[in-house]
Amino acid sequence: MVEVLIKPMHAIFFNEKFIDGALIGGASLDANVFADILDIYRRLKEK
Amino acid sequence: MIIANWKANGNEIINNSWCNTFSSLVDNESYKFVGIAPSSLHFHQIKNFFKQTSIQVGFQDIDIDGGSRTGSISVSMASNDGCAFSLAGHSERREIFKDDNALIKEKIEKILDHKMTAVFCIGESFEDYQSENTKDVLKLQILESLPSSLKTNNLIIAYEPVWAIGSGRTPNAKEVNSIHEFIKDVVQSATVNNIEPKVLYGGSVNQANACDFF
Repeated sequence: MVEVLIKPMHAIFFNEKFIDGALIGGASLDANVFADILDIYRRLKEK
Repeated sequence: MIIANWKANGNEIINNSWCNTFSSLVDNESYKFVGIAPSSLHFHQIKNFFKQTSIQVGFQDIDIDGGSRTGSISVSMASNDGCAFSLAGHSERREIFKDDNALIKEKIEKILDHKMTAVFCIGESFEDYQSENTKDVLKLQILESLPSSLKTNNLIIAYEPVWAIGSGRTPNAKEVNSIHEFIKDVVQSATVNNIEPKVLYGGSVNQANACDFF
């Protein structure tokens, strides 16, 4: 089974210029984790 | 953009709980950055729950045609029902269902023809990574699947480094950033209007090495 796991600590990816977002598999099944990633994404991309 | 790919997971009760939890945590402004690809079976449930928001709800895959194609959901069916986007070429589709570059190209063309956004997934195998063929493989996937007359910005590319699966290795942000820059360059060079697509990261790891990963 393939799982895609990006947890909030990995959202450092969004600091990078050419990374425009993420396609999230397994981790997105947890609404809390997904919301955390979204929050970090917004904070990093809008700064 | 952050897209949730729920794969073959969920049921009405679990999905409803997810939606209630998520909506309690996220402000309205954040919704515009979100895409959700539930199972096709639950597309309407999720779409209806978020109908007052700017969340985009899409499909994980789509068939290129309708009619006598048992088990399929055609791109026009999806479009008529308000589908915002569809994935094409996800590594699991390539591996399990044998979607090849030619079929993926047809899917992308159909998705774009129906005014939806195509989320075109690419990624190299571990063998390709080991032999340092990453860029060659990605370039081939792009060139063989990208519509030759692409003129729309409704194309998002998702880079999944499939080599991370089971290898114990994980990409670092600099590596991914470099690959994303390369992907944008390839697409720009290959398109009439020098389109620079958004490129999403999809980091893959299997359950066996997840503990090490985190």
